[in-house]
Amino acid sequence: MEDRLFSPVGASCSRIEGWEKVSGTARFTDDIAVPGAWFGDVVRAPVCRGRLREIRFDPAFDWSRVTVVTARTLPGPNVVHMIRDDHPIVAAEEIRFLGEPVVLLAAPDRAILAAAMAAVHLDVEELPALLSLDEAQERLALSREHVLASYAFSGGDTASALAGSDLVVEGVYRTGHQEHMYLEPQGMIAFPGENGGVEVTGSLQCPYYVHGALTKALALPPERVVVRQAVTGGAFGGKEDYPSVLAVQAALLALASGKPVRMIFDRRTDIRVTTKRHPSLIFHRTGVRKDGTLLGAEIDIYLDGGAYVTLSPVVLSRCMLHACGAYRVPAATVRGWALETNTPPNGAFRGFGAPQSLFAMERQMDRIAAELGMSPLEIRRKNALRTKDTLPFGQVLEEEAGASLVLEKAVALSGYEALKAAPKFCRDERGRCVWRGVGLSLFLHGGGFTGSGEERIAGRVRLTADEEANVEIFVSSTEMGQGASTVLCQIVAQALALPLGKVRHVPPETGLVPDSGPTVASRTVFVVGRVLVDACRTMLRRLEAAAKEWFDTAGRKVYSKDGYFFAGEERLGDMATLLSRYVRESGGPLTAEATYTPPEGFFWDEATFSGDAYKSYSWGADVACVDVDATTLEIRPRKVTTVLEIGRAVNPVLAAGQAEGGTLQALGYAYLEDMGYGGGRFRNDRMATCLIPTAVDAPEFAVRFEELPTRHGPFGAKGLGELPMDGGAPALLAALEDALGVFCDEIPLSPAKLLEKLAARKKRNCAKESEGDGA
Amino acid sequence: MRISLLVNGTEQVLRVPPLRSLLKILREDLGLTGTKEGCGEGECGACAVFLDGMLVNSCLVPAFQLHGREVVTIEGLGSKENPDPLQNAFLEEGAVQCGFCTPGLILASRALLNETPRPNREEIRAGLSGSLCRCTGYERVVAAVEKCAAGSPEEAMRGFGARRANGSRSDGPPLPCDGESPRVLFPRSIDEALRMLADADVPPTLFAGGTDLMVPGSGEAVPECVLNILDIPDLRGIFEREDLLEIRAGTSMDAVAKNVVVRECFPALAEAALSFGAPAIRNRATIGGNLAGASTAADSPPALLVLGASVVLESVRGARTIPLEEFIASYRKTVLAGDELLTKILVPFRTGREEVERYRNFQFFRKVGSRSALTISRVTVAASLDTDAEGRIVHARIAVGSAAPTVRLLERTGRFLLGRTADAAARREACFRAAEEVAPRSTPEYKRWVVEQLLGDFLEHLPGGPRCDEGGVEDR
Repeated sequence: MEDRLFSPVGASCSRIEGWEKVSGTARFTDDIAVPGAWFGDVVRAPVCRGRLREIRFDPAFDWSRVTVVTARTLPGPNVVHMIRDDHPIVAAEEIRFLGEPVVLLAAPDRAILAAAMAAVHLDVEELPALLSLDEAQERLALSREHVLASYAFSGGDTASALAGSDLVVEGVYRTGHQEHMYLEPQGMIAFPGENGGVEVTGSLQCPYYVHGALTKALALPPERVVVRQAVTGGAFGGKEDYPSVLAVQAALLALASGKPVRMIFDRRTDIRVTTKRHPSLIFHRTGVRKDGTLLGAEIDIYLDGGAYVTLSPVVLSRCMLHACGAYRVPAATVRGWALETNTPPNGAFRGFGAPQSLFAMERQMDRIAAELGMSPLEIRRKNALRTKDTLPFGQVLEEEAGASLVLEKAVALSGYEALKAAPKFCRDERGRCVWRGVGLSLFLHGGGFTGSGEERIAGRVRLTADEEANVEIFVSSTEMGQGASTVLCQIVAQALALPLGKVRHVPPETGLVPDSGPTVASRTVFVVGRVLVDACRTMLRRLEAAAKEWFDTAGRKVYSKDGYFFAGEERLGDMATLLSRYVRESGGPLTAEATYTPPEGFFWDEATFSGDAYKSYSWGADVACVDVDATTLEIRPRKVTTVLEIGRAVNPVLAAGQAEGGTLQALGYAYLEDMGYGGGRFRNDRMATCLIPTAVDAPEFAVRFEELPTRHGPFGAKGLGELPMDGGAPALLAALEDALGVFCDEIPLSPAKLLEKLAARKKRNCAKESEGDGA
Repeated sequence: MRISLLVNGTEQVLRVPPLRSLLKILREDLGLTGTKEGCGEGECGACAVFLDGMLVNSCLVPAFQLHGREVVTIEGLGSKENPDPLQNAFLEEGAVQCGFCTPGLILASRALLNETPRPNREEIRAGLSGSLCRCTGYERVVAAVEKCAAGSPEEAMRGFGARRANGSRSDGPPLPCDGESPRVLFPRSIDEALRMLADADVPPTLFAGGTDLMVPGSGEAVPECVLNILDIPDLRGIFEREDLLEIRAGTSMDAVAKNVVVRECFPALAEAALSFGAPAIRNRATIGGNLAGASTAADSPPALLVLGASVVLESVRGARTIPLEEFIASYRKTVLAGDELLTKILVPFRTGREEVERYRNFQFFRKVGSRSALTISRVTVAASLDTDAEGRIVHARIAVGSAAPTVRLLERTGRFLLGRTADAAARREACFRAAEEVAPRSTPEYKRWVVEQLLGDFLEHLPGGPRCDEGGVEDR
């Protein structure tokens, strides 16, 4: 048998839109010139909570030159449609967070716009506000009115398991806000369309989310709203929910003014008002046997949802479903609450709740290990999930579990045990005295939507082929830097055995592309890729049927294999030839569509929060090496080894880019990215203060992929995008513990906080010594 | 004003407001949208371009400094037919994800390779520290640059554009337009600048590299009048005088960091200049501007303080030379009068037979920021000590930044050390005094502790080498 004609899956081809990006010719939203476009801006609430008494428009200003939209002049409901329709477009009376939109303005130029902004005065009665997660959690005992969502599930008899344990270990863990800091700020351009419709082009992840929000807010039929994605400069979840807000604002102004309206955020506004990662407060009680075997766990999770629901219920559920990490916990009770506070709404961010609960679980494992005098590695080896184990919500791991595999590979590849045994106090390359430590983390990430989410979305895709056998992919899945355009083309080219250059991902535009679902939840390759393979099959079946008519197949079986069509042993022709002929003879492009088909044997019960939460799990283990400057306590990640099991690496180089970039975000989350939150505002609202790692801060990476193919993804591939976000923070804190001997349970960590920890330990030690003296 | 400049080899004549940034001119007036705005304050590097062959953040360059200059943007770097090897390498190595930071990163890489053709990984990371990327984790970017190291000389010319071939360069200041604001004055010499300052009704805003003034929200409203001091030739340069080094105030931080005499005689200052911002910022920011801002977080003042530097303030009334510690009056204030210009920084050499032959000089500078590069000082400690043959301290100056409302000389600590050897008792007492002498506002415990630690570390290593292999921090 001959080799496959073309086999792009597994090849590290360069990204398809690469030249545009390296030559500066890729058009991001703000790069699109729109002659005659107006500029839009938003007058925002000056308090965290309050009652809007009056909006005063300075009579000295000539208001005929600008367009004004307030709650009174909306054409439809005052709602930015998301999960629950609680999020107003502009505050009508109640103000729930600092920076909440109150008045929308558009003007023909920036100077007039600035003057108009200054001529609006808000008369606001300030009210007491709920400004911290701790406070919200305490208030839960008194009232449930600020609960945005709450779930619970139990597997096994947790109370008995804890009661029967040799040891019950308790821990409290906290994580802070995190800013996405995509390099391209949010931006949207709205154009008034014909028949009172509207078209928007912007930086976004999910065209149909924006479409849904626009049809609702503008009370327009779906066909009169068009949403196009411009080249998008990073998103990480930050452009999942917020673009709906911005698109509605821009569209309202465009419709009211009759002009195209640009709304491009400057960095400061972007940091102040867009969504962040949910801060968390997580309580663990874990029962263990002396030998380290986990017996039971009780986990209470509180997430700070901010002022409105946004995606908090879904973030909470993923957070809870990952709460026991990659471990076998025979009896577990997990309870979770997403709480409302008077802060900007928190929303989607790579990992979507899992980084918070995995951080807590991984730290808890280290804490248990320390209490038992075990090594962090041994306790993980002992409890790592195995194939056929049952997760606390009842899912049985039918496919091969990768926990032990990634753990052992990461340990071997990094030389973990030698690093662990190496001297803690040494000198770095620059000759500085440092405390050096190594830490590890083990984690998993469920691919695709939680529970029956994929069934609800029922993603659809379409392929077309023309006479030259050029194939176009029509999906709403977007390229935002993660490589979707390239890997989806690789998957289709593989399924059709065509050269990669023959396949193109059409820039998403609602109406033109079917709704393949949002570009989130590590689902683009795993779910959409699979549906595309189904569409390719449809295409192949059609061609096989045609081949039966075109050739004298004399009852032999007609089939396609490796890019050729056969009748029995006889080769009829290659893919490109048959495709061309089909298109020529049928007088139009060959089109194939497919819709997500739920795999058999999966069941999820939303009401009881039990069943098969995810169709597949990806697995990861990180080993982080850190130096802490002995004189300043500056934290410096030196090297991170990350081993990720992702079923199949469709494009290894792009995949490695996901692993490295995601891991660096996770490290930044742990020790650097402090938004300076307090009193309802982010003190660090500039790039110079809201820091992300530079090239000098980034450690050396060693990335390795393992492949345990899943039956449910294309060519065995699972989800990858979010997995690297899960393990970096706990591994880094474990490394710090190894270096300094202090246990940290809170991120972001800073040298000043480390000093507090060291001082507290010193005090404890002194107290112990003096006790000893007294005895 | 009317300006004429060469952009990617094409002459452009524009009528623009004087403070309009090069970034806006490129994107909005010339349609060159490959240059991106990620932050608008010189932090992210997405707007980096070459200005007269030098990497700058275009958001910090005002129009009035562009007349007669030459700009090369990503659009001018390479074409599909003749790409810069970096463009290919970025693609092949997977150094591109979302692509928003990519043009700036490629130009920063080009600047690095033009200056350092065979950088090691550490040099690559430092060279790219002013270009933030949120997607890649930088690993693949470093690999791409490594792949292009030691390119041909023609490649190294990329970014210098076509001026040599074209030869057109307008001289003289740009023509102002009626009613524009601010009014910009273009002195060609220090003397002319001083006359302009003397003649002004309202003191003009002195404008050099713009790395502070172009940041929105950092300053007051648009000034009425701006005096462009960046392009005064005799305000730039580093000169060796008999007993001191004269650094003209308009000298860039980059030039200070790379000056051979500074590196040899004043390593504390070289270190301070090198820790300042990132390459594109160091190319524009001037040492005079760093002093005149009087920020406690500024990088060069602690180093200059311990080196005993003076500043020369000139006006038509004459010149005065005052010690740097007297120049910085209070929080963000200097003693510079409205008609005065900071023209020189004088750093004394160690002279005198005894000083040079018998005493050994030790210098120290350490900035602690929140991250390893491109960072604002959280606390800075600088010191310069002389010891005699017996190891006794005969001269001691210690200064801190970000640990008090202004940069501060720790005079009592310095006095205490005089005549002592840096034995354990003296070290402990000196550190204790230093911690008393600082007055940090935020995280005071941490900052005090760091001042103690850094000073103690420096003193401990005075006569011999560091001893950190012998035992740990006492806490362990």
